[in-house]
Amino acid sequence: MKNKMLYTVLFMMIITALYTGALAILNAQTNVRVQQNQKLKEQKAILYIFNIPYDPDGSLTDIQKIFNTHISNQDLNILKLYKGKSSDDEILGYAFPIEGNGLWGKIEGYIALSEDNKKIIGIEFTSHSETPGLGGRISEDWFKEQFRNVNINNFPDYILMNTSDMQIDAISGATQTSKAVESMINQNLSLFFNNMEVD
Amino acid sequence: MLSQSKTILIKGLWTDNPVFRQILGICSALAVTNMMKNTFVMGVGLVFVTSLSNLTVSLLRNYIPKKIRMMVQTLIIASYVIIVDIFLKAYYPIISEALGPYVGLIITNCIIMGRCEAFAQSNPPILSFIDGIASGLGYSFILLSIAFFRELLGFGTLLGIPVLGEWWTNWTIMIMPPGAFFMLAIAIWIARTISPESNR
Repeated sequence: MKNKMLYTVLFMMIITALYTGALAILNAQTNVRVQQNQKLKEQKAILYIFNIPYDPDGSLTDIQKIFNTHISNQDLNILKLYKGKSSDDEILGYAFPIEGNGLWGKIEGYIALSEDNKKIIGIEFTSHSETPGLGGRISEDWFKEQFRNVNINNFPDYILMNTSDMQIDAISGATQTSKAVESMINQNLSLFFNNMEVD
Repeated sequence: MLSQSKTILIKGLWTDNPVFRQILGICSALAVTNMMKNTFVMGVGLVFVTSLSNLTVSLLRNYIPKKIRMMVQTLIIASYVIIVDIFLKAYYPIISEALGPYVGLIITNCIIMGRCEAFAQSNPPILSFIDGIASGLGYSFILLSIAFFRELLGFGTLLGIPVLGEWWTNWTIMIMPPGAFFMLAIAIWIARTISPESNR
């Protein structure tokens, strides 16, 4: 009886060690790749919002090369900003990460503003869990492209959807998600401008 | 051996089909069937995990102490699922993102543990492996048929390629959870009409 108990415990310990060991090795071997994928996705998002052309199927080194020639890091107080430059070395503006609550979960992305902070250059969503085909359409090009070169209003509604002067259409059938995106942008811009004033 | 394998395949694919006969794996059948591409990856993942878990459990079946067999099965299943998850994250990040938490949730798919308990515990390795493939394929083909109609009616596309053209108005409900319930029920209805339980 005692032997049986010992066998049971030993069996479980050995098989657990074997399997977790194998998984740990696999994880360590793919870790670099997973992180590269993550980084690549971020870099593509930032290139996209500055409207800098790149090959979507390009290799890591290609994207990285374009990224490094156009984008540089710049810290402003506690904010980590990305400074974007055009091919003629002209400063396009600054980008920073944004986040907010969507209908089902967190929406994360990046936004870029022109250098004088008067215009939105572009917006991209890197992760969200909105309903596919409805709220999920925020990641479709037609929706994101509406934000290109939009003039920013005054506090607190920097942007408003479905108004005649702004020309940003909400998604029909996804009112909650559209509203969430609107308030997410307004809140993040407000935070950004507050941080700038601390200067 | 050959005729046995054939019986196992027919059982997994049709007569004992996990989805419409045993009503197992319904959670993921509802969740990942709005696009065929995601459904296909889910199916491949399930075939992989079910067959290898069955094989491993069968190989170890004479050594696993009876009292802790479920713990061991869960450990084995979870390990294979994590392998699939890591693989997708590293090599197919876009699909990994689309499937989200559902890859990890393969662990809780009743089909796998059901097959380990009902078959692999008491059958030789090769047959168990075939049984895993059969059940996985049975699950995949029902899910793919559901996804075919949901994607076609909901997006007007098949595997992401537009087929219905501009005139088609997308049935948004098909992409949302209610569409999944309707289509799954219809699939079970049709399958059970073709082969009623009383015929077995």
